[in-house]
Amino acid sequence: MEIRLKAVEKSFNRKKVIQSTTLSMVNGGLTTLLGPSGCGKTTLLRMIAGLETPDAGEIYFDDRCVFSKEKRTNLPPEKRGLGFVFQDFALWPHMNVFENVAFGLRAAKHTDSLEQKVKDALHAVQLDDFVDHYPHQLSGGQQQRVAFARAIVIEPKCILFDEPLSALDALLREEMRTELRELITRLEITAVFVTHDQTEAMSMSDAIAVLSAGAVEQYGTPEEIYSTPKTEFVAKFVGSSNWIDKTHMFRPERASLEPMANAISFDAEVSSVQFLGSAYQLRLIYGDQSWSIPFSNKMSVGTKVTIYINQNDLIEVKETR
Amino acid sequence: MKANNLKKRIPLILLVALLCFLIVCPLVMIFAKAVITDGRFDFLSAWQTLKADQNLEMIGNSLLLGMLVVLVSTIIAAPLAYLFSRTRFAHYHFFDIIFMIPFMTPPYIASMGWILFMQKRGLLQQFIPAMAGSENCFFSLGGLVLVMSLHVFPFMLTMLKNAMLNIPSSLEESGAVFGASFVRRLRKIFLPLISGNYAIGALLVFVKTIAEYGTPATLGKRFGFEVFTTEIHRYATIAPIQFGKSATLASVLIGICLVMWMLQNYITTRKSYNLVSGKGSRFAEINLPLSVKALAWIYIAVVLLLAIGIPYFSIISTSLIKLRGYGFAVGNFTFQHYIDLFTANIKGVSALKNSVFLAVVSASICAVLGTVLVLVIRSSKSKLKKVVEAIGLLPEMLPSIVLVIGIMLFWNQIYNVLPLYNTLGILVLTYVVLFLPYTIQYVTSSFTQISDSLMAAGQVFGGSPFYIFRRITMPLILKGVATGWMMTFIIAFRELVTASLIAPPNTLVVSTYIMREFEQGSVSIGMAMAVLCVLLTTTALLILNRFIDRQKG
Repeated sequence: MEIRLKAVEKSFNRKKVIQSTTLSMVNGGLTTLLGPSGCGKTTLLRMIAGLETPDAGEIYFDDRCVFSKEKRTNLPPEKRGLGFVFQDFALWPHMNVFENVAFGLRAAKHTDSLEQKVKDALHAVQLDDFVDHYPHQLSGGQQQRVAFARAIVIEPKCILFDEPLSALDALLREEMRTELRELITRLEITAVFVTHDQTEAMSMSDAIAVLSAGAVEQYGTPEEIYSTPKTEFVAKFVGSSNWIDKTHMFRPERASLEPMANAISFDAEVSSVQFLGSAYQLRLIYGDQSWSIPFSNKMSVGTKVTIYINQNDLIEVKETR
Repeated sequence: MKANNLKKRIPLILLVALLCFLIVCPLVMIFAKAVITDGRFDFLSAWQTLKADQNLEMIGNSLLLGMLVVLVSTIIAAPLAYLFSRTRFAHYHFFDIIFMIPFMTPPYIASMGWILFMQKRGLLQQFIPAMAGSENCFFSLGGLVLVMSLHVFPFMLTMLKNAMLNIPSSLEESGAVFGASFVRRLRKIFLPLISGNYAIGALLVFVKTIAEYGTPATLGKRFGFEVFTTEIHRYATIAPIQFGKSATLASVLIGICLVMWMLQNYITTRKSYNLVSGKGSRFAEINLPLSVKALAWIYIAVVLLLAIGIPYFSIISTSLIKLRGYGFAVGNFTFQHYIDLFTANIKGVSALKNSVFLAVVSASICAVLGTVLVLVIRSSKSKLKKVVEAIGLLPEMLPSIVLVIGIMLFWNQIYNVLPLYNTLGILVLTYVVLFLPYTIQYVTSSFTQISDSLMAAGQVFGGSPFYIFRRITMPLILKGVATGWMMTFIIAFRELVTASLIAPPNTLVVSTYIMREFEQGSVSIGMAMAVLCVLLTTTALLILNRFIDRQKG
C-alpha cells in the first residue's frame, strides 16, 4: 500500500510541530522517518494512524482518502485497518498473549479460524509456547514480538512502528533489528518506521525521510542520504562528517594519506590519536576545523600530514537556515 | 462544528451543575446563614458570636489542641520513621499493616476504650488499685492530646517515612566523605531535606485534628473541653438551636482549613525537593548495635501497646464482662451482650441494617458518580474540567461537620421543593458528598498507571469506543473503582458525625448506637457493637487487600 501525505500540517498550542509536508511512502518497502527527538516524526506517524488529527492537508492510502481537511473526511483509527507497534509495546496487562494478539480480530468480528490465525502469528515470531503468559511474565524482546504478532495477525496492508526498538537494551536491539527486517521482507508488508537512531535507519530501510523541526530535509534511499546529503543538518545527523568550510564536507573513510589522481589535498596536523581495535582514529586540525579519519598506523601527536580527497567525494550542502 | 462542540460539553456541564447543587450550594448556605439574619446582612451578630468569651476560649482550645497533637504525634512517629526507612526494620513489612490499625480504628471507639481503661474504677484501677486517682491526670488536655496523637501518628509516620525513603543514601554519604560528622549530616543534610515534607504532614495532622469530632465528643466532654466541632454540633442539636452561631463557627473553621491548605500548597510547590531520581538512588542500611536494636524493639512495643493494645483490650474485655463491678474474675465472662445486641430489642439490629444499607448504597453511588466524573474529566479538553475536579475533591479538604451543617441548612431551605430532609435519603446524599473524593482519587490514580498508548492501541486495532471501554479501560480501572467502593463502604459504615447530626428521629446507625449505649445504656452492649463494627470493617479491608494482591497476579 502506498501512503501519501499532501501538505499535512499540525500545531500543538499554537506551536507548529509539522510544517506543510508532502511525502509518499514506498509500496511494499520499509520507509523510515528519521530525526532527533521533537522533530515531529512520531506526530507524523500518529497522524497516519489517525491518533492525531492534522490541521490541514490530505492523507491517502492508495486511492482511499482517510483524511482531508477540505472534504471533511477523517477516518477514525479503528477504521483505517493498520497495524501499529508502540514504543512502550502497549500490551494490555490484563490480557494474556493470546488475547492481546486476538484483540484486533475480535474487535473486527473476524472470529472464524481465530485460534489458527493467532497461533500462526505467534509462530511467525517464535512465541508458540507463550500463549498463556501475561505481558509482565515476558522479557522485553518477547513483549516486542507479541506487539509485532498483534500487528501482523490482522493482515494489515501497512504496519507503523513507533521507535519499537528503543525500549530494548543494545544487544537485543541489534538482534531484533535483523529479525524485524527479515519478517517484514518475508511477509511483504509495507512498513513505516520511526526512529532517532541513524544506524537503525540505514541498516533497515528502503527509503529514509530525514526530519528536522517539523519538515522533511531530505527523502531518499539510505545510500543517497549518506553519500549525497543535501543539507548541513542531514550531513551532520547521518554519519560523521569532516567540514572544510560551511558548505563543503567529506566522509571520514573517503580521506586518504596517499597521493592520488584527481584529488584535492589539505595540510593538517595530528592533535590526538585513539586506538579503536580495527584501526586508529586520528583527530586532525585543519584551520579552525577538527576532523577525524581512520588510519591503519599509529602516529604521534603534532605530526604534519597531507590529506587527499577525490574530487567526487567532496560534498556540497545547503547551509541550514 | 460549534454545535458539535456544545454537544461534547453537555456531560461536563451537567456534572458542574450537579456538583454545585450537592457541594457548593450547602457551603454558600453556611456563609449566608452566618451573616444574614431575618433577610438582612448582619455581620454584627456573627462578630458578637465570635467575640463571646466562651467561643474565644473554644477557638483557643482548638488551635492549642491542634498544635499539641502535631507535636506529640511527631515525637511518636519520628523515631519509627527513621527505623522503618534506614535500618533493618525497613524489611519487616508486616509493620506497615500493624501501624495502620490505630488510624483505621474509628477515633470514637478508641477513645471509649481509653475512657473505660482510665476512668475511676476503670480497668487500670481494677488491676492496680494503687493507681486510684490516675483518672484526674488522664481526663485533661494531656490525655486528650495523647489519645488523638495515638490515632493520627500513623499518618505522620507514613509521611516522614516516605520523605526519608526519598533521600538517597549517597547524599548523606557524600556529606560523610567531605568530612561532616553524624550530627552535622543530620542537621545540614537530612533535616533540611525532609523539612518540606514534614511541614506538609504537620499541616495535614493539624487540619485533621481540629476537624475531628469523635474524640472531643467522647473524651473532651468528660472534662468540659470544647472545640470547634463540639460547639458547632451543640448549637445545631441542643435547644435552643442556633443555626446562625453554628454557621458562624463553621465559617471560621472553613477559613482556618483553607489557610492551612494554601500554606500546604505553597510549601509543596516552593519548599519540597524533587529527589526521586530513579536509577541512581540506593540505600545503605544502617547497622544498629544490639543495645539500640533492643531499645528499638521496646519502643515499638510500647507504642503498639498504647495505640492498639489498651483501647482494644478495654473494648473487647468490656464487651465480654458479665457484671462490670466484679471485674476480671473466673465466671464473670459471657457472650450474653452479643446475644442481647440482637435479641434484647430491635434497635441494635436496625442500627446494623441501617449502616449496611447506607454504606452499600452510598458506596455504589460514589463508585458510579466518581468513575463517570473521572471519565468525563479525562475525555474533555475544556477548561471547565479543572473546576469539576476541584469541586469534586473539595469535601475531602473540609471538616465533614462543616459540610454536614451546610447540607442540613440547604436541604431544610428547599424542603418544600425536595422533601429529602428527615429521611434516610439525606444520609445517603451526605455520605455521597463526603466520600466522593475517595472514588475520584482511586480511579484517577488507576488511570495514571495506565499508559495512554494502551487505549491508542485499542483504537488502532479496530476497537470501537465502547468496545475499548469494555475490554480495556474498564478492566484496568476496575481495581481503582473497587478500592474506592470498599473504602467508602468502610468509612460510611462507621461514620459518626453525619449520623448524629442529620439522621431522622429514632433512626440509629452503628456509630450513634454505640454512642448512646456508651453514654446512657449498657456500656457492654455498646462495646459488643463496637467490636462487631471493627470486625466487619476489618474483614472488608482484608478482602480488599486480597483482591488487590490477586489483581497484581
